[in-house]
Amino acid sequence: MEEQIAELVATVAELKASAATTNTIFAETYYYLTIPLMIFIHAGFLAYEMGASRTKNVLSSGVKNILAFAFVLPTFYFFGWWVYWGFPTGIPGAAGPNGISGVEYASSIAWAWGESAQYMGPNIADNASGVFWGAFAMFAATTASIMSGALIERIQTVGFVILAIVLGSFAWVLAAAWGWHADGWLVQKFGVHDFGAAGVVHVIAGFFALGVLLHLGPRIGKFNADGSANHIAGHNLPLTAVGLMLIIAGFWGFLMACLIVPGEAWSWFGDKFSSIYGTPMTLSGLSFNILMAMGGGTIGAWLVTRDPFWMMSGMLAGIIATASGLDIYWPGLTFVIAFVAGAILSPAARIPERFGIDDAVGAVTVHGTIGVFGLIALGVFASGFPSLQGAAGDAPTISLYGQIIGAIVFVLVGFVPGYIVAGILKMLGMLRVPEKAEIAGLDPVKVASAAYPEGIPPSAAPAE
Amino acid sequence: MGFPFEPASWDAVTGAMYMGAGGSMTLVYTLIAAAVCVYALWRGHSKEHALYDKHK
Repeated sequence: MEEQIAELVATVAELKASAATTNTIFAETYYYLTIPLMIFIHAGFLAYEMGASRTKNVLSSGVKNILAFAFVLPTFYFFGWWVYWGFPTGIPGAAGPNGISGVEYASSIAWAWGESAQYMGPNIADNASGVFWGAFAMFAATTASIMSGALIERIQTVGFVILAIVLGSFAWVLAAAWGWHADGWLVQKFGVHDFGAAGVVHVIAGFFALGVLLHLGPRIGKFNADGSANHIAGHNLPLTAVGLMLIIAGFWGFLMACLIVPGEAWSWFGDKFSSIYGTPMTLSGLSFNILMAMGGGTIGAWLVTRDPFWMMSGMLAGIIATASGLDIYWPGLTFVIAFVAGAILSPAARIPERFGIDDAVGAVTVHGTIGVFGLIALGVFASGFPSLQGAAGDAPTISLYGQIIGAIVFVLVGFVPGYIVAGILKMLGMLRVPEKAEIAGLDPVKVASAAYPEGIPPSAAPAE
Repeated sequence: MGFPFEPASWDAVTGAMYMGAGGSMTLVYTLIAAAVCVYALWRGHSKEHALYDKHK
């Protein structure tokens, strides 16, 4: 009998170890796969921006976009990851209630030297740090790419890269620490809930771009002497539309990476998914809501504009407008909010033009304005929901007030660094290309190859 | 930097397994990588402005 019990105990222990290993490997694989999915976002931004550029600037826009991606990755490794873990409670970086924040904690896991280096490179006992860092690095690069489109056809390459580093490896990271971390002061004090990063990614990127645009100025020919705006058409709308669809495809990876999976170092539960706040959720529920948001945003934009550019932007706006609450919205409500976002998108994008701001792709509106709309919408519809995992009465709850505070903070954390750094670059002569280069086109001036060396043949006449 | 474990067998590896694990070279290489980024920006800026100057 004793022998049989011992055998049974050994078998149970073996099964437990096997289940834990399966969980760990599943979590590692899950996050690993979000990374190539999110690279679709960058393929999309690349196509989107190049299509939105005139033929004389196509490759220059592409180079800028590729470099933003390339420089955000190492800089996020050098210091961005450390900022995320170091400052959720604010400055100077005290430890938070969950024990996974503060400068001391960050320095023990996120510096690439000393003892913490073991979590920043190959480690047979650590299946979580690299893939989690990788997913966050993709968020960082996405944030920088969002800004990129607004500035095309007149910004200097290196000046832009510096702005991308500040945005992707610092500004959004600070916002994420404050509002997208269980110890974040916006979460703990105000119950801010932003599951899919409408605020910490989109609002930050949109308003950072606005701060830069104020110093950068419009493209030559955008505005007439009386202040009226001209439409500067990109050279390839189909490329832009496909790019937007790629961004949408990539957003499945982005939103997938916003979940915390059972079985890894930072998991809240051993048996279910949660949001980054530890609130329980499912991929199934997320699928309902993302798809309904895509449909709503597109239809809203189609009704108002009938323009494929705005329809595809509307699809993106639908997701952004509902991103904060994709974990808890009812799909019908998701559709309605996304529809409104799609419908207001194009009219809202004309507002910056009235102030002489030339946002070449509407990034400030699609990401900034719609992101704010989404944060506040969640406050309207989800008030009273616990915004964080915790015992009844202990967990902060979502409120309109809290979401508005969150929106204001995100607008400022985006706008202020963008405005200041762009101002400094302008003083140093590193922001805008010279007028002659802009008129000649940036590709012939500074790109070593041609986008269309044989030209683009016009459509054949009907008789032919 | 060599295999950081004795004896030279993967059986001895239970944690960090990269080149230079446990030593100071991680800092050195990180600093070199950061310096490469700074140099690339500086060099890129110089080249970019040289091209603009040609079109003045």
